[in-house]
Amino acid sequence: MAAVIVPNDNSLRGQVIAICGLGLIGSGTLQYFRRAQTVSVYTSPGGYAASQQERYVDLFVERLRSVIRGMDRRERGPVPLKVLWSAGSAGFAASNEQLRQEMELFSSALRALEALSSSGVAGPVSVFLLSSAGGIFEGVRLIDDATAPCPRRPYGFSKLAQEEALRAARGIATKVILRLTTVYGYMRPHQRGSVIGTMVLNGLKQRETKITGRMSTLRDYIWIEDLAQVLCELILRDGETPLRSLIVASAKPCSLLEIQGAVEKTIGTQLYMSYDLDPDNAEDITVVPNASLLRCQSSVLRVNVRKMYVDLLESRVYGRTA
Amino acid sequence: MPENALLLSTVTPVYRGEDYLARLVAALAELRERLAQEHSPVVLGESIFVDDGAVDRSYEVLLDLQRQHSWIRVVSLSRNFGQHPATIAGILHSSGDWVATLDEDLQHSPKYLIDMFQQVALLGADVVYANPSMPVHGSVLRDSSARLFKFIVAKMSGNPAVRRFNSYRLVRGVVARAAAAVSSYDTYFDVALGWFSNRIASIELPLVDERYRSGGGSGYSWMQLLRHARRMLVTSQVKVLRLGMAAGLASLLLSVAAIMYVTFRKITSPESIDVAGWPTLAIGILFFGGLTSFLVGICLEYMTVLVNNVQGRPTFLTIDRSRDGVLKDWLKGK
Repeated sequence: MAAVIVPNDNSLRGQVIAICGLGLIGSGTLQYFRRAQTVSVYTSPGGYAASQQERYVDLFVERLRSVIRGMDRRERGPVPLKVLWSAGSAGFAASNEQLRQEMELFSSALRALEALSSSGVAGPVSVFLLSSAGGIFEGVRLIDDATAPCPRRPYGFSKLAQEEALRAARGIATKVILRLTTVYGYMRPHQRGSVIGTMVLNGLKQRETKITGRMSTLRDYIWIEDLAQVLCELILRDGETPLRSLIVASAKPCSLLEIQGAVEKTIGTQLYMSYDLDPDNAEDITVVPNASLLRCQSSVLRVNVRKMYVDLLESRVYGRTA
Repeated sequence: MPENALLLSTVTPVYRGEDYLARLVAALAELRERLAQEHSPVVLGESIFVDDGAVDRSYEVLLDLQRQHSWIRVVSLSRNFGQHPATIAGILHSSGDWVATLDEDLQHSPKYLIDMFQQVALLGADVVYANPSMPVHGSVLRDSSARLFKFIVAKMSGNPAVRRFNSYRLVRGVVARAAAAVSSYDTYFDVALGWFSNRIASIELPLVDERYRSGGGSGYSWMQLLRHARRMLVTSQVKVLRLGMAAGLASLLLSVAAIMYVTFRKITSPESIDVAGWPTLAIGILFFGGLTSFLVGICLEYMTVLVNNVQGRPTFLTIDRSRDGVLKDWLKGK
C-alpha cells in the first residue's frame, strides 16, 4: 500500500510526497505528516506478493498522476515529487526469494519514477530509500564514517543492491539513502513487530518471548515517533545534495536486559524470556555520532514502552494480534 | 578496528572538571596511541564524558575536545544527579567489551589501565578496582574516615568487597551494563556490580587527589559524601536485618523455656517465689516479647525479598569469557 500526500500549507504547496509501504515506518511517517502539517492524503492499494507487484507499481503511478492532475496549481510544468521508499517486510532471516521479490518491486518503482520524470509529469524527483544499518554493518560496533559495508547474510546484500540500484537510477535528481538501525513502535495486525513491541505484547499475554540474541546483545533502537519526525523534516527540507548516504540512529546502545527491565517495570509483570543456545543474531551493532549520522532523539525507553502498552490495551489490538 | 579487537570504553562523570579535562583527554590519547603501537588486542574505542550538571565550563571544554577527537563522546544529563547515576548513564551509552570508569580530576591516570588488565588476565576477574597505595587526600581525617566507613559497612553487610570499592574501576562490559540497567537513583553501583559477579579483584596504585591537595577542595561536600555513604548502606543487604528473624526465633524459644521453668517452680516449690504475681508477669513479658520479635523478624525477611526485587537484583546473567585468552596472550610478555 502507498500514500500520496499533498501539503496544503502555503509554504509547502506545489509538491507531492509519496510514501511507498505503510508498515511500521511508513504509517508512522504518514501519521506524523498528518499531525504536523495540513495535508491531503490519497492511498493506493496493493501488496508485496509477486502476483501483486506489477499491479502495485501501476496503481501507485496511476494514483500519482491523478493527484497531480487534480492539484490546484498556479504554474504549469512538472511537479516536485519526493518519494519515501519504506516498502518491504523482509527481515534479517528473509529468504532469497522474498528478497528477490522486494528487489524487483523496487527496481520496477524506480523505472516508473524515471518515466514520470522523463515525461515531464513530475520533477525534480527525489527518492529517500530506507536501508538497514544492521544488515549492512552486521556485527560492527561504533559504526562511523569510515566503516565499510560488511553484510553477512542475504538481507544485508539485498539492501546494498537496492542502494546500488538507486545510485544507478537516471532521472532521479536527489537520492538519499537512509541506513536505519532498529526501529520499534506500535504493534499493528499483519505488521512485522519489533522485538520491544513483541516483548510488551507477550508480557500482556503472559507468553514466552524467544530471543535469537543474548541478554547482553547491544543494538541501537529508534522510537518510531522520533524517526518519523526526522524523516518528515528531511523530506520537507529543500536544497538536499544530489546523493547522500546517512545512518539514522539514536547513538545510544541498549541491551536486551535493559529493555527487559524497562518493559517489566512498565507493564508490572514479569516477562518469560528464553534465549537461543546458539543465537545467530547475537552480535552487537552500535553507532557513534559522526558526520554521516542523522540522529534521532533518544527518547526515554520506559515512556515509549508505556505508550505501546497503553496503545495495545486501548486499541484492543492485542486480542487480534497473533 | 580489527575484527577480534577487545573494545575498551572509558566513562568519566563530570561536575567540576574544567581545569583537568584537557589533560585527562591527553592522557587517554596517549594510552590509545600506546595500545595501537604495541599492536594490543585492546583498542580504546570511545571515551564517554557525562556532563552531570557541571557548575563550571566543563561542558564547553568537552565540546571542544569532542571536535578535536572523534572518539570522545559527550552525554549531557538534564541536571546534576550525582556521581553514581552519571556513571550509570555513561555505562549505558557504552559499547565496549570492557568499561573503565575514571574521575575527572586526574586522580585516576589512564596509564594504569594496562596494569588493571593484567589482573583480569591473571585472575579471570570481571571487576578490577584500583586501591590507593598511599593516602589519597593527604588528610588523615578524610582518608581514615573513608576507610573506617567501608570497614563498618563491610562488616554490617557481610560483603568484604566493600573495602575495595573505588570509582577507578575496570569492569567487563556485559557486567557493567547489566548492573547499570538494573540500578536506580539510590543504587550504589558497586554493590549492584556484586550482584552480577563475584570475580572481583583489586590492585594497589598510586592514586592522588591533586585537586584536594592543591586546596581546590574535593568535588564533594561533606553532605554529598554522607549521601554517598547512605546510598552504600541502603543498597547493601544489611546482615543485621537478616539476623532479626533469628534473634526473634531465639527469643521466642528462650521465652518458652523460661515459661516452662517458671511454671515448674510454681508447681513444685511455690514457697521459693516471694513476689505474688511475678510468675504470671514474667511469663507474659517473655512470651509476648519473644513472639513480637519473631514476627518482626519475619516481616524483615519479607522486606528483604521485596527490596531485592525492587532493586532489580537478578536471577542470573549469562556471560562469555572465552576471549580472555587474547588478553592473556598479549600480557604474557609484560
